Order: sequence, then C-alpha cells, then structure tokens
Amino acid sequence: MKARTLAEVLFTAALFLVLAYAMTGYPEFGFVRPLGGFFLYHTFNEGNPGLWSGSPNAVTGILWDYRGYDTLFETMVFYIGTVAVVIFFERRARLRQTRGMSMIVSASTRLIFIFIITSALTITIFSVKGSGGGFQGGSIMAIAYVAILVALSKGFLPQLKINVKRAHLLRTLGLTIIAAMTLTPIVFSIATGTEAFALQNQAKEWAPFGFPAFLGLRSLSGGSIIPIQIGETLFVGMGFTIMFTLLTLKGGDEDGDGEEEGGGGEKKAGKEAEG
Amino acid sequence: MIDAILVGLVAIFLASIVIAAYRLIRGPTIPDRMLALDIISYTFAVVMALVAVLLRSPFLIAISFMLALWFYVGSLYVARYLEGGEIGD
Amino acid sequence: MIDTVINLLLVFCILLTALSIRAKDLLLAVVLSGAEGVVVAVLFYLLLAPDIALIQIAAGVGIATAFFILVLKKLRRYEEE
Repeated sequence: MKARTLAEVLFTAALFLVLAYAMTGYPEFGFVRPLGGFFLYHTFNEGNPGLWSGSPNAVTGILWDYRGYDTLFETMVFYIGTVAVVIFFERRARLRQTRGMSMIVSASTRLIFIFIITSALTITIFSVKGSGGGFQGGSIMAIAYVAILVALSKGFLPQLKINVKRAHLLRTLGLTIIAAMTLTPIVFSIATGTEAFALQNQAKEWAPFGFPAFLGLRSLSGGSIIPIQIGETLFVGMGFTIMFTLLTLKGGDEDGDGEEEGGGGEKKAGKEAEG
Repeated sequence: MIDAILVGLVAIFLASIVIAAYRLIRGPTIPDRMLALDIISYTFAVVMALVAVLLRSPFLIAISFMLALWFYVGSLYVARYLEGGEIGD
Repeated sequence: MIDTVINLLLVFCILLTALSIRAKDLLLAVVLSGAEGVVVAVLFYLLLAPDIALIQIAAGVGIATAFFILVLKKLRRYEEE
C-alpha cells in the first residue's frame, strides 16, 4: 500500500512537471500578435500610466481588470444553476458500492483520474502564463469525478473522501475566497479613506490599493489571480460534482453516513467477486 | 524541411479523418459510429499537437491532451449506456 | 491552406448538426452532437483561441454529453413519428 501511494504521488508529480513545462512554454522571444500588442499597450504601459491596468502580468490584467465582472457574473449564473439542481434533487443518500464497469475500464479510469486531476490543477495555476483559467480547471476536475461515477459506480466516491456534504463545504470555501478577494479593496477603501474599486488588483495612480505579489515575483503571480482561480476551480468543480451525484441518486437510496457505507460495500463487492 | 514533413503529416491525418467521417455518417450501428468518433477525436488531438509544433507555440499542446482525455470519458458514457446499467450504479 | 481546412470543417460541422437534428434515435443524436462539439473545438483551436477551445471541450463534449445521457436514461430512446 505504501509503495503504491508513493508511486501514485511520483506519477502525479511527474505529470504535473511535464504539463507545467508544456503550459508555460513561450514562442520565440519578441513574437507578439497584433491583438496581443493592443492589450500589452493597455496593461503595463510605462509611458501612459493613465490607461494601464497596472498589472505587470498581461493575462491578469485582461482577465481581472477588463473582464472581472464577466467572471463574477459567470460565477453567479453557475451558483444559481447549482442551487436549482440542489433544490429539486436533494436527498440524503447512502452510497453503496456496486459492480461498476469491467476491470479493464476501472483500472484505466483510475489512471485517467489522476491525469485529469493533475491537468486541472496545472491549467488552474499556470493560467497566469498560458491558456486556461478557473472555469476550465473546474469543469475538468468535475469530469474526473463524473468518469469515476460512470466507470466505478457512485459508491467509489466516498473512498476519494468526497460526498455531497463535503463538496458543499469545498464549494463554499471557493466562493468565500472569491468574495474575500473581491471585497478586500472596498474594505480597504472605507478603512483608509482612499479610492479603490471592487475587483481591483494592482495599484494605480488614483487608487493606491494593490494586492501583494505572491511567490515573490510580480509578473509570475500577478497579484490576486492565483487565489481567485483556485477558488473558482473549487467552486465550479465541486458544483458540477454535486449536480452529477444528485442526478445519479435514485429514490431507493436511504439516509445514512456515506463514508462507512462505502467501505462496507466495497468488502461486500469483493466477496461477491470471489464467489 | 521539417515544416514540409509536418505539413505532409497533417495532410495524411486529415485524410484519415475524412475516411473515419464516412463511417461516422454512414455507419449502421451506434458502436460503429462511436468507434469512428473515437478515431476522429484522437486523430484531431494528434493534428493539434502537430500544428502546435508547426507554429512553435508549446502552450497549444495542452489542448490536445485535453481532447484525448475528454473523448475517453465521452466514450465511457456511451459504453455505459449501451451496457444497459443505470449510470452511477 | 488553413482557410480551406477551416471551411471544410465548418461544412462538416453543419452536416453533423443537420444529421443530429434529423436522427430518430436520440442516442445517435447525442453522439453526433458530441462529434460536432469536437469539430467546433478544433475550429477554435485553429483560430488560435486555446482557452475557448478548452471550455468547448470541457463543456460541449464532456458535460453536455453526460447530462444528455443521464436524461436519456430517464426517457425513451427512440423518438416516435
């Protein structure tokens, strides 16, 4: 068991490194597309500080200073969708392990699960440099859980330490991170009497509030983007997981504690396989 | 030189996509079409990787990973449906 | 050359959409709309919009297909005349 856990961790780490290398690669130095030139002019233009967003990371500038409300309303729409599904389909359920698909499919799905989760994290964290972002990472993470649901049956989810209640908690945690990062500039503004606006990321001439740069490098982290993307990933991924878990539950499933039942069910399934 | 080889490879893969697309549209049963769709999407993933090499932009490679992974999951759904069981059991 | 490929893919996309609208077997319609999602993702990729392609792959191919098949499980598979 120990060796297997170690192998899984090493596999995940190696995949993470490869994907990180792939995500952060650059085209040849100095190559800028015309649209990229426009945004570079308006994000960190030392010669024209009236226009810039003040962000040394252009991706952060575009995503957060130009499209911040877009992301915020996307999150809101998704929140309402999740609430609708929860209202209509919520039942407390005992998750029983059942047969699932054949062994070949189950084994390859376990490998693919690690691959998908790793790439979701990579897409989330390295979205400051390449393509990707919170919504993409979240839906990729959700697909990993859906694959487990389809191939290994819903009784396998408790073994991944995921049930509906925990998914709700993680989703709320993600939402709290986003709300905190959104509202911090306003609180700062009220407290100190200076100008600031919601979703502000970096300091400007007329609004001195700025998030500190994480990891020490301003251009790598771009201020508030990494916590916000991680929050968005948790929110979207866990939201989709809740939706799919609730949609696959049936009326016959009764109340109970999901976790212990999952373990017991596994033993039962093992006995059936032996017999 | 290497660019010409890459363009030729892309052309060959696109031709194989055309052949699989015929089976996708004509194929009499669902498993036929699903296999054709698997071939199409994996080949598209390869084409995407080749195009990323051709354009010398490594961050485009990640999309081809995603497409390949996705289609694995997509064919799982259909297989599960055809197997007859309830999804989630 | 890239324009020709994009135009051919658009024609293929329209063809797949028309077929999936006409299909009487709803599972077939789901498979064909999944194929259409793949083609649209490749189009976004060729137009150099990789993050939109990522969303299209995740939402259009993964999540939409899963929802449709879940719903199809609760309905009849064949559409009547």
